[in-house]
Amino acid sequence: MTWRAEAPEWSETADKTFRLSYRVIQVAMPIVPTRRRADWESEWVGELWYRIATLDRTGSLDRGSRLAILSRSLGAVPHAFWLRRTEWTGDMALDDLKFATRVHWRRPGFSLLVIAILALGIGATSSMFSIVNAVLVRPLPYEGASARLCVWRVPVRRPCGDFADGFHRLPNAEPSLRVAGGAIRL
Amino acid sequence: MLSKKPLSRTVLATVKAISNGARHGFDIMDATGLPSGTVYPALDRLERSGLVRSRWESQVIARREKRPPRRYYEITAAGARALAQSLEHYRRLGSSLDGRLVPRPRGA
Repeated sequence: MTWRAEAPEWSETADKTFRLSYRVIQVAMPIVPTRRRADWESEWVGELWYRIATLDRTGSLDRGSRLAILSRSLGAVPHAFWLRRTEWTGDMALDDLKFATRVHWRRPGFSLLVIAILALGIGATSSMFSIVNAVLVRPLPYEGASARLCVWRVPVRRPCGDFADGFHRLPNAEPSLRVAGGAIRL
Repeated sequence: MLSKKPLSRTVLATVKAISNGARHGFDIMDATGLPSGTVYPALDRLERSGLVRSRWESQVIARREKRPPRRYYEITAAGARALAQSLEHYRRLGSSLDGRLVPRPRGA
């Protein structure tokens, strides 16, 4: 890239601002389709560089303008996703695979971290599903399990009983269920 | 290709900014007040539909100023037509709404 050969004549603050903004561009870059990537990077770098250099030259690179530049560089992420969505083709999957392989060889630690996080996430989700499925979804292993009832005590502060009172309040209780004297007759 | 429908608000603001002299991505954002994540996709859409074309500034100028080259945008003849049509559409819509939205005097 041509711009990499340029030696910027700007302050340390300008340099830091550019580096930080460029990090955002670098993060979004793999999302951009390969054939658009060079142009996309050049456009973002050209604009960021020009804006930072102009503000630095005029002494206007204050905290507010630095934040504005950083916030503007964050727009590279939705822009990259938009390009990916609108220009995706089947052969780009192969490019992604090649890119992933290169990253894996260059930074194996990062790849391992990503794989570990994915494994933990998938494992935790599967465990939660297994528990929910066993406790709530799957019917009990008895014949006529769906007709069985579970009655438990309901704390009530009235002298006329406890679980019977709670039972009556069930909105969908079968009319054939009757409660008398604290005992249930089915 | 150029649609018969009027340009959307975002696209219209982008084209209008370019026709007013904002040529680079960040200048268009300054002129429209729209965020970068909206302006760049709008510019891409406009370029695909032929309403706007983009070019890279000369390497000579960029080297002389010791900076990377910038991409600039220009409005095409089709873009100018679409802009005029859309502005006229919204102007007519606005004036027709003005007539309807005037509050009636009490007791009328």
